[in-house]
Amino acid sequence: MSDLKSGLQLGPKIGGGFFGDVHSGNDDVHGNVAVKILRQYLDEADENWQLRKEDLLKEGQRLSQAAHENIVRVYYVVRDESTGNPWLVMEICKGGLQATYDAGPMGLIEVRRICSQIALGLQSLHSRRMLHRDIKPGNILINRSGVAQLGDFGLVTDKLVLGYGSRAGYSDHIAPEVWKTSVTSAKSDVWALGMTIYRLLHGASWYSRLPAKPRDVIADGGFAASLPWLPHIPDGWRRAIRKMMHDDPDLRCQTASQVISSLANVECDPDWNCAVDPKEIRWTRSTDTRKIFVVLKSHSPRRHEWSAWSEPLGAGNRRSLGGSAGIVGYMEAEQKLRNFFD
Amino acid sequence: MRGFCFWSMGKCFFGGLAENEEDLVNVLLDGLSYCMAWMTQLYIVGQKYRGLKMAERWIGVITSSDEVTLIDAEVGASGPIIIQADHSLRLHSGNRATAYRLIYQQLSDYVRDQKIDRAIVKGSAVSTGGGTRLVHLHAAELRGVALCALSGAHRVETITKSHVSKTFGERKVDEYLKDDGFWVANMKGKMRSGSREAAILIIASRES
Repeated sequence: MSDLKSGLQLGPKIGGGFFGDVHSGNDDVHGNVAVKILRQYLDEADENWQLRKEDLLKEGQRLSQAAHENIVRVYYVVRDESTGNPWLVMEICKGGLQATYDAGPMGLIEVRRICSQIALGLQSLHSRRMLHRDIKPGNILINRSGVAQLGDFGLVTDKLVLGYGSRAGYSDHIAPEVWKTSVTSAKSDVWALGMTIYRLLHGASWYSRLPAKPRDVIADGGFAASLPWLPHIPDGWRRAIRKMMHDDPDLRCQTASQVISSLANVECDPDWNCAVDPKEIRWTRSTDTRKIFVVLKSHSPRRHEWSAWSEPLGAGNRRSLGGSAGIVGYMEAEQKLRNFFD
Repeated sequence: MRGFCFWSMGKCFFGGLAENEEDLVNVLLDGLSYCMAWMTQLYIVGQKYRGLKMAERWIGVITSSDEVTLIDAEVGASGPIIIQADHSLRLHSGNRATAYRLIYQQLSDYVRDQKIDRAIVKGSAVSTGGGTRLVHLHAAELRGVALCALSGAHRVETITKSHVSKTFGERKVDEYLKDDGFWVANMKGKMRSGSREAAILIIASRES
């Protein structure tokens, strides 16, 4: 048999993680591609290293089986000529949502669009008897056409019994029943999707200020009901997310399709831009003629004040739209802001 | 087949000892999965030797201005029709183009993933009272999107309510929809009463 040679050209590193690195690349057929390359850790036993290499091949096979518009495409696997290590060659994406999430809260319309697309990919995965087990902002990628895709199939499993698999995933996104039983299901993927939506709507700064680390309290129950919300998030969104994250799996959205339906009538207008800083939360949006500003300042954990005003896009005067008229507690400020945003 | 059975039984009973709780779950899941695979093989072989034909998967679909109702059923040549799923796909508020695209993907994914053989869609009809309103036009738009999305099924057709009334049974469709006994006799499985209009498309198509 003759030797085969790949035309793949490896480019610079564009990402990485615990597993190894992701490089850009170029091949004759697909043009720009992403190449996932494993790296042996300094103290890693050869036996483990072999297992991880086999896992990468399995990840490629699972991605191939799960082909869908909202799941990142795998093209092929090649082996490094010198080491024999497998490289997973995939569709290149503009980037993941991790950076967007780190930057702050996303707009309502964009979150609904992206998460509905991800739910489509997840539903298709579940229909093929696979669980993702690691739904989180960092595993949502946006391709060159702006379509959201589920990525990182490292923890996907098709080893199911009556729809259930073993526990895996980022601990903040593990549903309460999984903490108790160590068994995952399509419903625990739905719980993780609800958590992802909550995080995208609030951003990393807000999430880091939660009173307790989610992984420490989820198993106790009542986690979704205790979540604090940014005041501009409408009630419909809160209800939908609580439904996705209900403690009782039987009272949760049962499928990813139901998640899409539960987002059908959530309010997306007005769609505020929001920025969360340690001392200030700022909202802005524009109408045809004016720009509206809302600012909540935190002087200390118990001392807050807020104000809202509009400014003309052209010539004209600034107009006050409301405010706390002095220092108030957070509960009062939050309630008044909710009324303002309603 | 025989080799597969011995191999799965061996894996099931001698799969290994668990060293901790997490291992135990994995070992139990392993064992159960091999047992399930073994039983599935037995069932398939059993069916083959009994000479039974697998039933087909059909869906009945109705659209309103903002929702698609879908009944998915296993349909044999005779006997009760077995309901597999009763879904409502709600059209997202806001931009209708984006919302239609989403519904299109949901329906086309469903047909492909569930391997649907036949899709029957309730067809458009001229309004007899009160004239055509915007909701009727929106429902017709959504019906067009659904028809296009369902084209992945082997066979897609539209049937109007009046056609069903003329060709199926001795009563009008609305009378069948209210008759609980009719549904108990003809369909097995859980279905919302509001989805009966989608289900009667399946029953009428089998009888025609």
